Amino acid sequence: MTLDPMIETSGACPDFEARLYDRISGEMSASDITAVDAHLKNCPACAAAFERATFSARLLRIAEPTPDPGPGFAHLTMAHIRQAQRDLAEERSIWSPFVSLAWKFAATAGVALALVLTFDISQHRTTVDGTYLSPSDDAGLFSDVNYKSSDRDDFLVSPADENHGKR
Amino acid sequence: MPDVPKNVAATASALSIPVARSEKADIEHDLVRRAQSGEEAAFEELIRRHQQRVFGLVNGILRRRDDVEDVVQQVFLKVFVSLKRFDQRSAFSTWLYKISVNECWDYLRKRKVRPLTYEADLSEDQVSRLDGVASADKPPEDPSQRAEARDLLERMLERLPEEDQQLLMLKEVEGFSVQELAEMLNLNVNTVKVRLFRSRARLTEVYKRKLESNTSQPNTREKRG
Repeated sequence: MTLDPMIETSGACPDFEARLYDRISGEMSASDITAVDAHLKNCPACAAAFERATFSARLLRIAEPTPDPGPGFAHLTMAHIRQAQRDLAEERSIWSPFVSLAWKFAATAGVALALVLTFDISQHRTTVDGTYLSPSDDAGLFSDVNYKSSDRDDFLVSPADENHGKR
Repeated sequence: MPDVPKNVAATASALSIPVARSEKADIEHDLVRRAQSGEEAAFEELIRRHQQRVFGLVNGILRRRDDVEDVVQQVFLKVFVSLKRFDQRSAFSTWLYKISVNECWDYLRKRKVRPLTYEADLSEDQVSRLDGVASADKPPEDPSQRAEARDLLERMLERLPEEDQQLLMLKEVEGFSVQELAEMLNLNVNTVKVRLFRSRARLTEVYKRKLESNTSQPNTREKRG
């Protein structure tokens, strides 16, 4: 049984409090009643707490349950719900032109970005070190325009080997 | 009347309770399903069936009659809006009560209000009258006396921690079961029982202390005099 440690004690044995409540509310089997009553006879702290808890019924009977609000309440609440739904729909309709415009802007920007990226990829190719070079750049750097560097190091040393640093 | 053997009648009467409950649950299940498909009349019927308990629940927590109706309407609006998401795995009432409890906490937090508080302490006369009501075999029948006794009890409850007041009101006055309270407050059933036992013991303790201080005051005056 897990209990909130913040609950202050009633003075009764903590393991018995739930059973003492059942005893007061009458939700207990005959054998349990006998066991609890035997405990109450031998435990003055539980007996005192039980007496206090039982007496509270005399005070609590003064209070009355909240009365039914009547048959009109459901009707009134439905009218309130319909009004709230209408207000919400109206609020949405005020903002809807702006929302749709924002979506159109977003869609146009998306298409434009996609076009730019597609154009860029088709016009450039990627070298091993990740930079983009156009075919014309290749011709200026290497004597053999058909030469393709196999890796990054090869790419860096090849001009020096072929031209000794001179064009 | 036909001569029905006693044991058969007893069995029938014992069986009638679960059968009635099952029928009620079926009707409610159907109402929820119809309301989920947009039938407003079905939702209105659900409100009608649960309005008193939701009123009791909200009143038990807020204890401010002026605001109760607004909060209850807000509860049903929230239920209406989120009804399509309710999968009927738990009872509709359990779901409804949880929404009601959350709405009450939200209300108290947003408005930064505490449940009803009485600033003035009970006078000696008032304590004596409350003692008279508590000692009598029956609560007073006169409406004005009953109203006064209720007011005095409210003031007595005010001396208890807020959670104690709410639990006592919901269980002992509004008639919610321990199981319902455990579900709506996300607590263990035993924890609810222990809290209720302690709250009840504490209420009597507050009352007895008030009585004792009331009876000891004249002696103090005499000594001073």
